[in-house]
Amino acid sequence: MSTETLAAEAVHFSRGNRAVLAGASLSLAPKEIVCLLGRNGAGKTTLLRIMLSFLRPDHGTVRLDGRALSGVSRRVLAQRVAYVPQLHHPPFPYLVREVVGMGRLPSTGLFGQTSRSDRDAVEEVMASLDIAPLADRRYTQLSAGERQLVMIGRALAQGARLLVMDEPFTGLDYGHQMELMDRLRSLKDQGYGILMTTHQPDHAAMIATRVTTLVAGQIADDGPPENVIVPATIRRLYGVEMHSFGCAQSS
Amino acid sequence: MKQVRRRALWQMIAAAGPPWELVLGAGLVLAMILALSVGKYPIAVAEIPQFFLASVGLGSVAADRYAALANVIIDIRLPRVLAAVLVGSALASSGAAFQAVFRNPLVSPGLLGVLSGASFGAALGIVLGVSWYFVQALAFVMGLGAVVFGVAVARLFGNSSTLTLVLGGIVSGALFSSLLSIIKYVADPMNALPNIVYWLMGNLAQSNLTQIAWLAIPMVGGVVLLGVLGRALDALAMGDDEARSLGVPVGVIRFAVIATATLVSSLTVSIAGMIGWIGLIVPHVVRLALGASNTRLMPSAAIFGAMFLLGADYLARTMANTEIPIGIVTELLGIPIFLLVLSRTNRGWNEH
Repeated sequence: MSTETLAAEAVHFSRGNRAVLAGASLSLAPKEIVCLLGRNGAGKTTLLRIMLSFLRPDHGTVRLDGRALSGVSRRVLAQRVAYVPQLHHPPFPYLVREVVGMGRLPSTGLFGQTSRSDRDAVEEVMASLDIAPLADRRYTQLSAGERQLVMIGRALAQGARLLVMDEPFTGLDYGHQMELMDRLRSLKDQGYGILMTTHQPDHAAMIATRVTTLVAGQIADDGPPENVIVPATIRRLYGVEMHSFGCAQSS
Repeated sequence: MKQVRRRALWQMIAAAGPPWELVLGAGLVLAMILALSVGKYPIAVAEIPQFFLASVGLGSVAADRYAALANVIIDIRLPRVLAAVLVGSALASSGAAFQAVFRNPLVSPGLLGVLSGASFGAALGIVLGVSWYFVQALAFVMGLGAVVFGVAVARLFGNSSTLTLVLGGIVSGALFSSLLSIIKYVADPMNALPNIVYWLMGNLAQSNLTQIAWLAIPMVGGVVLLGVLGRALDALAMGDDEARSLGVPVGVIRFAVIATATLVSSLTVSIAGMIGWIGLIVPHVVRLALGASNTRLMPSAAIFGAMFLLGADYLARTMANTEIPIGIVTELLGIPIFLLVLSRTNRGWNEH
């Protein structure tokens, strides 16, 4: 495994009396797509938010390249790890170019001016995702699939090599889901590491290089999709019987 | 379609011509000169720059004319024009800042209850007979109290969505309005009461140059601070987690923005009473014309707010034989403009 990793180590987190995470360990490295499966309320999003340093764990640490996140500034972290949120609708009609441009914020700093090289970086990212024609459109008027690409564009503009995505396929129709998978695969091939939560084991089977499951606040399974996405895991995770399905069938 | 064309035109101008800050700044200077020339005592527009050049030793104006001009321009009209510029820019930029930080295009200093809170604080100060400085401090403290109360009410009803925050602001505004009514009720009807009522209706002519100079320090400082926070406000407008993921220290920035916007909008109350609508409509008008980016919106809204209030003050002075309180004029102007903006803004608001 490369040294460039983001790793949660035995992370505990409680909300009130309820333990959401009880010693969860999860890592992400370049050139892999890790899918995190779990029931509703299993704590998938909480784990992501802890790994992004939005939340502080009660116990345990998150490390970036071996350094605890508590000792890494937000700006530095933002240039290494980017967050792609669930589809949402911002209240102001920013242009696509402006939204992608926000990704330069960690490099320039809050009060810094954007330079020619920042603008070039933004153009380059938009071209690489084929959203350059949308540059002067309003983000709020785009389709769900287009907005998801713009969010990925902003993440790439940060210069981060590790992307953390919260249910990237939610709200996309089937065609856009397949297109997004192709995009993500090609990002992986370019050396990006992607960690995502999903509700769809079949998505994980199609795209993941590694599938993890979050059960009772801990990572229960962590392995290649053909080992994890099997009827026994599906039964344990969702309480349903699965007879024939994707790579589960072939294994 | 029209909007698209206008933006394209603007971008062409922006690409070819001088920077937009310069264009807007020049517009503001021109508006100030025009405002200084308007009034009962006739002064030609060209005399204004001549007078100011003469006053710094460049060029000359006949001595008796200079004295007359000095009296009218410096003593009578300049305080008023500066008050309009300060109040207009403070209201517009704090309105834009509140909208970004609360992710809510429907809030403004007025709607969040800041103006009511500050009015109550200042009226309380007047009735208690405390010093002028303490009146300002009370206005700010009560303005801040009103925001905190409004946000707390919104939190009570779940996450701060567009509607609950507006609701919280209405409740907070109502609370401080009724507290203000109590003050009015107990105020001395011969002296303090007429003062409070007349001043709250909105009047730009009640501050002298010294008071304005003192208030200008925090107000200009606040407007400039909000202006340089544009990129942080853009990130905050996308959501707390996203702002954090872009390296923005969300808590610090949010606190600084709310405190600053509350300070500058509270101080407008002590200069000119309650002037509504500017904080709501100016950011919308500028957003329609120049786009949503706060790096451009914040300074442009400040300048455009100043020009808007200068224009409203012109109407207040000339529409009728007697002067109409400026607060009434901005309200009369604001409502049709707001409706127009509402019909043109894209419909993002009611999708929450």
